[in-house]
Amino acid sequence: MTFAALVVLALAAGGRPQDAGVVLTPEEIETALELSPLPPPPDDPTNAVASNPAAARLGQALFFDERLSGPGTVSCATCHDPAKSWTDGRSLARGVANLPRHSMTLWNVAYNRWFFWDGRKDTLWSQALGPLEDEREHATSRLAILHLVADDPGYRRAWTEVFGELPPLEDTQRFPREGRPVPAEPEHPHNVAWSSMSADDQAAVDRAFANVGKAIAAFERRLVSGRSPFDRFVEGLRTQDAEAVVALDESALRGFQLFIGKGRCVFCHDGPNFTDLEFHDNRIPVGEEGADPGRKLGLRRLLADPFNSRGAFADDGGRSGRDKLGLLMDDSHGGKSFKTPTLRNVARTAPYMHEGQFATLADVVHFYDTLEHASPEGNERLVAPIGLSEQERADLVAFLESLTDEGLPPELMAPPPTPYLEK
Amino acid sequence: MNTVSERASGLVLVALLASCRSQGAASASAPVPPAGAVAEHSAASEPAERALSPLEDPTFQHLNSVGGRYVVCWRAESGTLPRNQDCALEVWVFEGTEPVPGLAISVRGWMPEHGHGMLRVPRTVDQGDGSYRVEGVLLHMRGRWQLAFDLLRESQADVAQCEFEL
Repeated sequence: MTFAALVVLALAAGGRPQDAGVVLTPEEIETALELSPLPPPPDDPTNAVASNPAAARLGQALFFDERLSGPGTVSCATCHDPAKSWTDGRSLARGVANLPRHSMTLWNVAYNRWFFWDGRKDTLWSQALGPLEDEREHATSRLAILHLVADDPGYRRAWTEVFGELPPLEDTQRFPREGRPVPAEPEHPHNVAWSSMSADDQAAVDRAFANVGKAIAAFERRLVSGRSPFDRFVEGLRTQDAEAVVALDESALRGFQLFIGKGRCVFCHDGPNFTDLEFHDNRIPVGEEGADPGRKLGLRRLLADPFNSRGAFADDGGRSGRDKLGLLMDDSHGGKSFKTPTLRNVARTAPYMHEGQFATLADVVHFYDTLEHASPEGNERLVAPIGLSEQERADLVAFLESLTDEGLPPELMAPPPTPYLEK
Repeated sequence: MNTVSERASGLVLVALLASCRSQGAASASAPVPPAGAVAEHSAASEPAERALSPLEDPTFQHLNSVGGRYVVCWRAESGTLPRNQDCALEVWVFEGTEPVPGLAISVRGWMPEHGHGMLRVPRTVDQGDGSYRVEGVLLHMRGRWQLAFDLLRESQADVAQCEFEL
């Protein structure tokens, strides 16, 4: 079925005829209805505890725990700070050391198809594992984390309730207190310790390490944005509720028209999560770190990752990953493609782009409008100067700001009182 | 500055729709073929009646191959092509009115205005009766798509193409 006609005339009270605001076409209304509401996150068949409340509680405790780092100073929340809309407000992330990319927000991370700017992970639980062992991020190891879980009575209880028994970590001859595979550095102490273990014990540790990620993912799946003024507006359209329709002011409404029209934003920022989930070379200026291969390298890393969705640690036996990875083109992306981020709560997640190249939304709009300082032309033909007026730029920013929700309940924004659910 | 209630009181909602479709991400789709044709097909699918050949069935799109040898009939298994969701296609190939099994078929998607296309290489399963199941199709963006069916038998290649707005 399709709309025959739906015309919204937003008139300021007592306004003059020339104030008669924004008239949406039936096609624009149809598009608005496609962009809201945000449905619940899709299932994750690769994570058997994705919807398990006890796993989410354990994952929340792990997420905020700085002991999950070599020096004991970095947690997931260091770069994904709930007070900063699950990012860090910095252009480039800083864990134990400086990093070459901007921290992505965790808003609606459960909807993603790929993870990180370059998509080098393809499940949320596997994403969580990467930074833990990166020497610039948490700089710890899978064995150190599992020993922490085993030695902490709260963690141990929570773990047992969710996953059953840990490997016999008390036998530190078999399970050194630190260790991980470091194939590029055979003499690295972590690699030496890892290499001293039997294949069976390594496999047991890998399974448990994957479960660390699955618990963290169960928590992160709850970081779902709530209703925004745009959602209230769309609900008003759907229910013909005039009070709800005015949730979007005229500037934001004009911005919406630009977003789906002249601005061409909706081609990539599509659907209720405002992302096509894929990668594009949008000629973003090269940042401080120099040329970044983006998806091209990310894809190679993903296919080689033993924790990917077709690997031994996916709880569906690798079924969902076989097509997801097996059908991918090897070279489907241009030189510097990066993932399209969500725009939900985007007004709270500055700065923007993979190196935080733009400080404000106005800067982002200015860039796409003019392509000032753009990188050389890539394969994305849609990226071309737009020619917006000053008012139109402001309207686009107003629309982006209308995607801001009222925040999460406080109990999700801090470490839980215990890693296990009190009975 | 007007309050919300003042603005609401001044807001005129002239909405007047003949009908309204259910919405959400899952509904984003391109009709293949037009809804009228689907209704016609439903009526024709009474149990007592013989199933239509794909050549006559309006729920399929019919494409003449560029070389003129084949007619390719295709439709989304789910009835509509979804945007940015994995889907499968049902494809039949005919030479005249005879189904043609044994072809190697590959499907490519391209977005001419974007300068890129489908990010996957879908898998085609030959069903042996002239029909083929194309799995793993993912048209990830809205806009104009060109779909090409490359047909290879022995060393002879042909292609059938179509274009639509998703």
